[in-house]
Amino acid sequence: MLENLVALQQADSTFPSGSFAFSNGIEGLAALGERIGGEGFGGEGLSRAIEVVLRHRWAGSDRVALILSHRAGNDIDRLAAIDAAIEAATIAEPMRTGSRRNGAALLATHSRLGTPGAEDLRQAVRDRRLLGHLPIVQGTLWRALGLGEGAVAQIAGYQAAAGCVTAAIRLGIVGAIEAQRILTALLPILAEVAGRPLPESDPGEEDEIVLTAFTPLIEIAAARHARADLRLFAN
Amino acid sequence: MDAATTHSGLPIDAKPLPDEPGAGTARRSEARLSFVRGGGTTVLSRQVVPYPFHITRPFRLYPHRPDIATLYLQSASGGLYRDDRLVLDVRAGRGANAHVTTQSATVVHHTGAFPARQSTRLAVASDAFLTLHPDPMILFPGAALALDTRIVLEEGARAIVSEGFAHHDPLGQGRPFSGVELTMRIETADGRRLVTERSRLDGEGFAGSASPLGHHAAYGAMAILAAPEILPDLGDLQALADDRDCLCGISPLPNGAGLGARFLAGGGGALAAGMEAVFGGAFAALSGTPLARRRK
Repeated sequence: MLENLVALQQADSTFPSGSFAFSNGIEGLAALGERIGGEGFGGEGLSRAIEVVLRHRWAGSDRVALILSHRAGNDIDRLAAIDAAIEAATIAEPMRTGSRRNGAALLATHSRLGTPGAEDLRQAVRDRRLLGHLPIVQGTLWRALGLGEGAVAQIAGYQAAAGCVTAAIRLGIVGAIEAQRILTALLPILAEVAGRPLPESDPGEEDEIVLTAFTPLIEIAAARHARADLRLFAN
Repeated sequence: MDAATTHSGLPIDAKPLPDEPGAGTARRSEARLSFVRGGGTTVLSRQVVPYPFHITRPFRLYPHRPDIATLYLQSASGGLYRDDRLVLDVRAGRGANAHVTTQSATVVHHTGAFPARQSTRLAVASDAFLTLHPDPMILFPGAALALDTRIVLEEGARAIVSEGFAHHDPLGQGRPFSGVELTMRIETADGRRLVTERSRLDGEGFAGSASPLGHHAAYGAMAILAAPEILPDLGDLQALADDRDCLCGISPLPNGAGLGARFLAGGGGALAAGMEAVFGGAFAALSGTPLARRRK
C-alpha cells in the first residue's frame, strides 16, 4: 500500500519535479505546422508524437538508463557510466540539456526534502563526477524511496507522456478533455513498453550500456525550436 | 557516370532485381584506403579494394587547392544483398585532405531474414580533413540494413560524415523495407567516447501511423566534426536544406564533437539535394574553399 502511495506522490503533477519547463519537442512540432504534413499539428499529431516518444525513445533509451540506475543503487561510479552513456547518445542538444536541467531540478527538490541519497548524488554532480541526467536521478532516488523497478518505470513513462500533453494544453494545441482522451488511448502502449524485460548486464563488459533511440522528426523540431525568437518551453 | 533514376529523381546504380526473398549471395569483403599528405598534395598511398568495392582515381577538382583529393567509391555489384558483410576502412594521415563520395545511390535489395551489413571505420589524424558523403541507401521492400560507423579523431582532426536512406518500392505497392539499424560512434584517438548513437526502425514502425519520420520517406544524418571556432553557423546551414524542400535540424553534438544534422524529405532526391547543400556549406567552412561541382 505504502509503495503505491509513494508512487502516486512522485507522479503527481503538483510534485515540484521541474518538468513544467520542458515540452520535449512538442512546441517545436507545433511550430513546424504544415511542414509536418496535413493541416498542421493538432490532437492527432500530438497522439502520434507521444507514441513515437514512448516507442522510439523512451522505451530503448530513457527507460533503459532509468532501470540500470535503479539497479546501480548508490554506486556513483556506475551511475556516472550510465550518465555518460546518456550524454553521448542524446544527439539533439535541446533534449540533452533538457534532461540535465530537469534532472537537476528534481534532484534539488529531493535534496530539500531530505530524500535518502539525494545530497550525495547532488554532491557528485557538483564534483563533476556525473552530469545528473533525469533518468539517473529518477532511478536512484525513487529506489531510495522504496519503489521497485516496475513502479519506477511506470512513473517515468507516465510522466514522459503526461508532460507532453500538459505542454500541448499550455500551448493551446488541445483542451483538457481531449488531452485526457489522448493519454487514455496511449496507456496500453505505455504499459507494453514499460513492462518490457531488461536483461541484467555485465558492468565489466565494454559497451554494455546500450541506449537505442530514433526520433528524427522530434529532434529536428527541437533543434529548430532552440533557435526560435519566442518560445514558452526550454525545449 | 550515367545512372538509372528512381521516380523520386535519385540516381541509383542498378535496376531492381526480382525481389524474391533472399535474392543474391552473401559476401564478405573489406576495402582499405589510406590517404597521406606528400609533395603538397594528398595521395592515395594504399588501396585494397576487393569486389564489390570499386574506386576511381583521386580527382583534383580544386586548381587552387591541389592538396584536396576527391575519390568516388561505388559498388560494382548493383547494391547490397542478403547477409552481405562489407567493411570500409579509410584513414587520413596527418595533413591529408580527402573527400570520398559515391557516384550514385546504393540499392539494398530484399534480404530475407539476413540483413546486409556495412561497417565503416574512419581514422583522421591531426590536421587532416576527411569527408565521407555517400548518396543515401535506397531500401527496397524487404530490405534489412545495418550500418555501423566508427570515427576516431586525433587532436585537430576535421571530418564530415553522412549517412541516409530512402524507402523505394519500384512497384508502388506500398511495401515497406524490413528494417534499418544505424550505429555511429565517434571517439578520440585516446579512446574517449564523444558520441554513441544507436537507431533502429523496422518496416512496420516506418509504415505505421506513428512513424518517427512523420510522413517522410527519407532520412539522413550528418556529423560535422571540427573545433568550435571553425564550425559554420547553424542557422545558415539549416536554411540551405530548407531551400531544397528538405526538413533539417542541426544542433551541437555531445562532448564538443561538433555539429549533428538530421534530415527528412519526401523522397531520396530531395533528401540528397538537401544533404548536398548542407555538406557544401560545412565543407566550405572546414576546408576554407567552396565545394567544387562533382559530376555524377
